[in-house]
Amino acid sequence: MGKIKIDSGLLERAKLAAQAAGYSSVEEFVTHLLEKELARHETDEAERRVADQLRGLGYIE
Amino acid sequence: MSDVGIVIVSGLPRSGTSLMMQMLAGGGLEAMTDNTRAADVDNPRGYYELEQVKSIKRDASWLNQAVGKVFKMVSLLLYDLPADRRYRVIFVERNLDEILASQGKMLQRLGRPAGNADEMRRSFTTHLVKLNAWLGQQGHIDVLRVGYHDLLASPLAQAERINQFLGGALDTAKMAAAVDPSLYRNRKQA
Repeated sequence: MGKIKIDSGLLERAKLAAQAAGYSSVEEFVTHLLEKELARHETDEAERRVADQLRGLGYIE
Repeated sequence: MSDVGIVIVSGLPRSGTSLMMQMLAGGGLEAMTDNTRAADVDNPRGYYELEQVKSIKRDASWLNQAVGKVFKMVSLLLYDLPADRRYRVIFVERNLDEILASQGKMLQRLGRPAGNADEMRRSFTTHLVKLNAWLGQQGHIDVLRVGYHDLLASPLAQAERINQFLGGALDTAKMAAAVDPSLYRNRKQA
């Protein structure tokens, strides 16, 4: 397990949000958010690479 | 043929979309193409492309002339279709390794760089997963999936499936006759 440092104010907000959303812990909440954001980032990167290849093939501008 | 609406042949490049266009044109559906990209060694029977398709995000006014006709559109551009119209999309699917091999040869002939093979396989897979999920949520887009290998193995049966999807007005015998298995190249190595 790794550790990261975040601003204490942000941590308090995350704790409140995790509780309100029904997460069992702030760790679970933050992990879920990170996974979601990383998946979005990886999908965007994949489609950028696809776009580059399609551009090379002359199928898009 | 206007009651068929706007028909789009889509898929990844080198998946068999030009073959599908040949089938539909053979069956009696008017194909929108400007022949800007001429037939070559990669597509000996022509590409059936329309340059306007590439700029659909900026200008979709030409769709007014697309009712009752078919045009080809690469998968990534489907996101840009205006949602105020209905579309019937025939999505051609083929083994991804064969597609990438064929794209690699085409890029080489064009003198352009190809991405890393493993990375591109992962990227195209991610793209298809996202696109398929998105298509499933689009009430204005009806999709028929057709396998490239199924087209080669049983062209008449596939022509009948496609004809049913498009309302039943096409000549399926002529559609099937457009399939030439000798053009099946870039096979996946066993």
